[in-house]
Amino acid sequence: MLAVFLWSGLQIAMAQGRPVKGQVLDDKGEGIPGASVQVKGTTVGTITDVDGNFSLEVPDDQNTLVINAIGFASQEVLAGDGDNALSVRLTTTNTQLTETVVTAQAIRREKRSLGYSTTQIGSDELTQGGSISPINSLTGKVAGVNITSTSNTPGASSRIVLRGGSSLTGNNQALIVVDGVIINNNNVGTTGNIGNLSNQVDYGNRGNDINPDDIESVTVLKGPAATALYGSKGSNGAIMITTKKGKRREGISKTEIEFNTSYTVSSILKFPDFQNEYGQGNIYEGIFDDRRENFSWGEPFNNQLRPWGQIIDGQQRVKPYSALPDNVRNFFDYGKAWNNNIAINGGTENTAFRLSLNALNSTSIFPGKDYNKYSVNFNGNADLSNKFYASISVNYSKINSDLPGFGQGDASIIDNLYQTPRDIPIRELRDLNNKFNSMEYLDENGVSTYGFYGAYAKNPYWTLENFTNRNKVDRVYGNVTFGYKPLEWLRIEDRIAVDAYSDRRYQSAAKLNSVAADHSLTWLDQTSPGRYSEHLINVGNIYNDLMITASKNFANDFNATVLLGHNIQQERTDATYSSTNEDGGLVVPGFYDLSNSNGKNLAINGNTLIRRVGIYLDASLGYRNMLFLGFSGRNDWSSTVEKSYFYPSVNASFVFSELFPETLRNGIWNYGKLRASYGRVGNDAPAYQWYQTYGAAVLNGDFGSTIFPFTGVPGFTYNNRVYNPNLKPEFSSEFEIGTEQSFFNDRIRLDFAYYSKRSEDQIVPVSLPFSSGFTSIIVNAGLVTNKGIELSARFVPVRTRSVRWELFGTFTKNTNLVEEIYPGTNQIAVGNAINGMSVVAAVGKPYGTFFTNAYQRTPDGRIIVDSVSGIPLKTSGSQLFGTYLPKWQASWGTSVAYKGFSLYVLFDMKKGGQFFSRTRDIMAFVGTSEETGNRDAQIWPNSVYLGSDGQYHTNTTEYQPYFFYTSQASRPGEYQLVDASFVKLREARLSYNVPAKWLNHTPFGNLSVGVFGNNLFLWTPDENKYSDPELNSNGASNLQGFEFSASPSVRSWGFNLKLTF
Amino acid sequence: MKYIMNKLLFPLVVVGVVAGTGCKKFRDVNVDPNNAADVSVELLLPAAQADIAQVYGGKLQIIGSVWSQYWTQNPNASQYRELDQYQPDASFASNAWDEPYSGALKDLDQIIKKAGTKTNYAAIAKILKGYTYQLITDQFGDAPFTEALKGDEGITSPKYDSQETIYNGIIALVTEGRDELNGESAAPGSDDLIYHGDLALWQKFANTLLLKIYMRLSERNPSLAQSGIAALEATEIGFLDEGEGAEIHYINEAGNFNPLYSEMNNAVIGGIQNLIASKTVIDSMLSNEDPRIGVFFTPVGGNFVALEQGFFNTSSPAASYATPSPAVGGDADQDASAEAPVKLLTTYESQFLQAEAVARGWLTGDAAELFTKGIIFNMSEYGLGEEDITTYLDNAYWAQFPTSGTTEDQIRHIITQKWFSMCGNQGIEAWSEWRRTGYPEFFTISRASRIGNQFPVRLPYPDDESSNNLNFPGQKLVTDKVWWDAN
Repeated sequence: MLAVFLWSGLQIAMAQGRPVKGQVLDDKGEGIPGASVQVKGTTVGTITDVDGNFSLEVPDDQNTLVINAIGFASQEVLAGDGDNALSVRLTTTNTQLTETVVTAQAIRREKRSLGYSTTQIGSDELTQGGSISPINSLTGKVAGVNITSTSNTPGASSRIVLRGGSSLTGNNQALIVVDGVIINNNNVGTTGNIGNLSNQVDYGNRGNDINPDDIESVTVLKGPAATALYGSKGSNGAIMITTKKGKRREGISKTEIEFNTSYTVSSILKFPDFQNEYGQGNIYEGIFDDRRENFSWGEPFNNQLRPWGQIIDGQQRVKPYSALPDNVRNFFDYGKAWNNNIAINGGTENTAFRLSLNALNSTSIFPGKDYNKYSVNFNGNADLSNKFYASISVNYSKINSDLPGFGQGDASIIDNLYQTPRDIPIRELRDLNNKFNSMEYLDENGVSTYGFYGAYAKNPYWTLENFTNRNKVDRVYGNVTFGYKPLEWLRIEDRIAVDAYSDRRYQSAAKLNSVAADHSLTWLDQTSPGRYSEHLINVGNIYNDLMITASKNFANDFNATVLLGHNIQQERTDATYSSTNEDGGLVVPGFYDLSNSNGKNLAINGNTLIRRVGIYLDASLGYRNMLFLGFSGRNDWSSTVEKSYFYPSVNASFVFSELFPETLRNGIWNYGKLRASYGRVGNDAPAYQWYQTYGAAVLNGDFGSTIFPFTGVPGFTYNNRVYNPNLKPEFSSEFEIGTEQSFFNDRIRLDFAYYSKRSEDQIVPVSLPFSSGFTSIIVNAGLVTNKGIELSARFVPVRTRSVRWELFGTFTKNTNLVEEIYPGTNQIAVGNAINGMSVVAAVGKPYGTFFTNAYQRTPDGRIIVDSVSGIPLKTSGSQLFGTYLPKWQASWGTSVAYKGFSLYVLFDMKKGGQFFSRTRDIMAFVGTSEETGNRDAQIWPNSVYLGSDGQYHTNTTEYQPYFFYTSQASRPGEYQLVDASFVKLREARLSYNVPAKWLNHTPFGNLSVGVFGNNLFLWTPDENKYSDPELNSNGASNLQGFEFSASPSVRSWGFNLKLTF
Repeated sequence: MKYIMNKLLFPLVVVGVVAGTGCKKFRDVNVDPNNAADVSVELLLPAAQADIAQVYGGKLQIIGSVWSQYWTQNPNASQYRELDQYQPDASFASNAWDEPYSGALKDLDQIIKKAGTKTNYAAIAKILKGYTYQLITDQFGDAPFTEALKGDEGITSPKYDSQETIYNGIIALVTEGRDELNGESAAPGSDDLIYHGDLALWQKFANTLLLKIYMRLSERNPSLAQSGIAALEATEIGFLDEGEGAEIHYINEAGNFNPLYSEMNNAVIGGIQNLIASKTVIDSMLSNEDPRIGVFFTPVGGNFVALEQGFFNTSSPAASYATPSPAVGGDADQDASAEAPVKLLTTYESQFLQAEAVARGWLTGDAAELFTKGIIFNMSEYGLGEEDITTYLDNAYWAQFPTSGTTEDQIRHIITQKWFSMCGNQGIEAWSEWRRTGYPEFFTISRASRIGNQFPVRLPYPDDESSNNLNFPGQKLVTDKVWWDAN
């Protein structure tokens, strides 16, 4: 199939014809570079050079050229016989006058008519940076959007929140819509006891399945006024993605082939700062040469030869006792990704199609781990006879990966590496056949033995090989539309859409039971119970929309459009998590199967079904292309709340520049618009919140648990949530005003918005004190407000024939406040507490505030220490600290186009906010972080102690840093909170469009090459010596800012090539 | 406008009516397929019983046994340092509050509500509720009781009752449960993990539990204790005797492990032996040549080397110290630990309680004989032979009942001997009895104490209460005594 298209493409491009030359000029007579010149009805075409010149072969049977250039009106000219050079003058269009954007239900509207904020990003801006995540590629490009890219590796989670989170425990991410159809953006964590703590794997969020190469444009609709038509799902705003379609062509069927390829290399963006003065050992407990240790609390480095590791068969390895500053860095490989995309598009007068094939093959920075994704996308549409039309869009994608594990414990490579003593040559541990590196070889008596140097850690290369997290995803989404257009102004359309995927996760952890080879010290046995689990998630969502649209001009000055729709939604998830016994592990080592469980299997079902029916109305009225009014309303019936609910929105747009005199409008003030909107969105409840239930009993200790059946006796327990059949729908409402302006021939463009959003009566599981017998109650409660401003600006200082230089930036400030929760409840946990740290929504604080214990302080803020040890005391209860939300964020960048070259640079930053760094905690414990390099007894700055007289006295007792750092229990959770501010060089790229004249005698229509980098540099406050603050252990969930030995983020760079023929 | 009315609003209304009524059945899918809508009391009872044992034999065993100076934190690990530092976080002990309230007590409440004609289920549930509430109030003091467990009845912030109210309440509950036990009604079978439906034993359990409850009030309200015990004697039900202990048995299968063993042998802790022998108990056992030392502890190289309480900043490696034994589920290295039973109320405890009641003159009987029976029951339950027992009874200082001594002397012997017998198997009870009576007298302040020269005498309330309960009375210090701790 591919070969046939390819061949026919070549045939057409090389068909016989006559040469035609010419120049494309603007209204001032200057050449327009980069204009497209195409023979009408064919794929034959070229691009003008810097002076606006072009030349091409026009097939003998053709005589019309179509000229297109950005910012100019399209024009058709006769090609002539080729004897005379053509001169084509294009007239400028003010882009803001005609710009259209995609709004709810994939309705394309003139931007000027909208009373709410929209931003549209084109395909090049998304793909040229080399990001394979459609969400991450929006970072820094739209005001009001908060994207957290986590590790930025292929398949990793990214979170996108518009105008601040407002739902206390529900989804806060923007809805993702592709060609009018809701696309599942689930971010499902894998559960199970240790699934949360000790074996964290980032399985990504499903929104990132979309192939950026298939995207024509992305429109960001921020408020509910814009998204009311999606019902509850649109309450967090929407990312409207329009995919590329085939182009209709007059005359015979023609095809065009587009090929894109990129190769990307990545490496870790930020390592923690290490100390390089002290090596392996624990001299503070009097052991000067402890070769088992993963402590770096040994002697100062002296660069003398010293044996290390175990004595095996009478031999021991020797190395200088010196720091290896790069030992952790050397463990990693470069990540490599090769992304190939080929698209064929073709069309006739009445039909068009596009078929796109994509393959992404990548290897991880973690040796041996990989991520591969393949997808096929087909779009086709046809006008049938009798005023009927139809279109189909199908996307199939397949993911096959083996992902690294994070968190705490055996499976976490990062946890292990950051604890490695500063003198251990990690890269030399690679050869697992070497006894000194081995975790499990059989000694002469057949006993499983380890020769690895440490007794408290496992060889990270062994872990890589023996702990796997395989993930397979198959996904199909798409829609079929049938339409009927009985009259020019009336359209009836039905669209049925399906989004179904199967996400299978298979985790294996090795069972290990090895004794130390060496008996000269008391070595610990190395044991690990092993584990195998399967998490099977099948999601099938069906949406049907029946829409009637009428659009008519009347009374000369008025235009009215009315859309009436009916919507059915069914969302079904069938999920099973099963694993071998969490504590007992595996029976037979190396055999990964659910039957191989030492003790009871764990099995959890998570099946849900939600159905909704809605009717909606969207109407807009325009007056003289200047004043526009819009109204929408929707009524929903949901399976999860008893009563139906209605919600409306209104918006108005006033293009006041229409009233300006022509001279002003064509001169310094080209465009001005005021807009205002108000919208309200209703939302239903999660499934199954009406009735009390009982579940098979699992009784938890702090770590182990008792699972029923118990010694053969079955047991059930009353579940811990108080359910509520009287739930009402929750509502959020938002008011927005804004303006769009353009000055000096469009050299300066501004867009400003102010919004205020209230989300109240939320359906929320409020935490209860356990003494109530329950842990939560589902109620309508709470009020969260978000207020903010968004500013985006573009400035073009230079715009000449050959050079275009542009500066742009955005600024966003969102103030989030949790105003009410529930009587008696000051706060709700956003995520589970780990290490005594939780993230909460607390009354009077912004969403996502950290809650943990603190240093004891006097009322005037001085630290209270223990008078004997000089170490700070900690509070027994917990307190509220900062939030993970930034105070404000901004982005700025520039682009320069010169001849065929274009350069683009984008920075973005977030200011304020905190994150939890387990990395700081664990590195302090083992003495590898930079701060632990200062080991002299010292007085805690500005500290006091409580004297026996009940008064505070200035402290003069020195503390030993060793005791502060190595006693995790004596350090408060506050210690682990770090300033999350940062500036990133998010994207930089340089591309070159090969001039058309060089391609004239090749089969290629267009050829461009480029180099790009993203996440290239990171600047953080001095306080953050630990990690990229965007890291998160909980993917795209509401639990953000939680770096629990999370996947490190990468910088990536590479080159790409695009060509068409 | 009329045009719009006719052509557009009319279909809207029609569609609306269809959507609103015709889809009712389509939408009727909100019943949870992943959980049971209802279950019988036979399924709730074993879960509630095992839950009590989960806490009693797990978190409370650890806290009790460290603060009773049987065990201490090993120097190479750090899991329980905050216990030896006498400054447990609010979250440290939360399992001992959260699990019984949201697990055992709530399920027992459900049994009482659902039992109907299965009156013996309700009776047993009441007795066990009393047992569980005592566990909570003994460690935390004032706690929700009268308004507790009513989250589904609209009480989401239950008020705190004084410990005195709770004690009066649990006396009434257990008495009521005992008196409602009725042989004519159906008895549980294998779903009763403790007594397999033996109602006579449940009556004795209730009486012994009441004896324990009354005895706890010996310093705060001796007259109530005395009259209550007199009433127990009058029932002629008696108290738990040999072979009648309330135990739950575990097997060597993950998920059904002894709770202490499962605290150590799980994928997170990975079998690290955090707990080792404390010098306090080892020294006193050695000086008494107590044969139980080899029952309750695993020696290293034949020696019972112990660490001074809280001295984890030592240079000696952890592996050189004796560890709790498999008999109490405390040896992470030995599979036999998985099968250690959790002992909720023991035969020897019953003897020592009676001995004390007799010594105080609140019960008739022979205190010396009861005291000796307590020792014999304890030793034989842990497999010691007659010879060992006789030698100990003949020679050990703490085995010689001071028949002619003062009441206080006798109590000192009874409680200290009870402390030996509960070593690592009823740690939390031994700690409560130490708080009540001050015996044994030879506890040492932990080397790691962060509260100076004081002992901890209660657990801090969990953060969930301070954050979510409008009626939370405020956090307490670990040095604040509970109400019955009057000495």
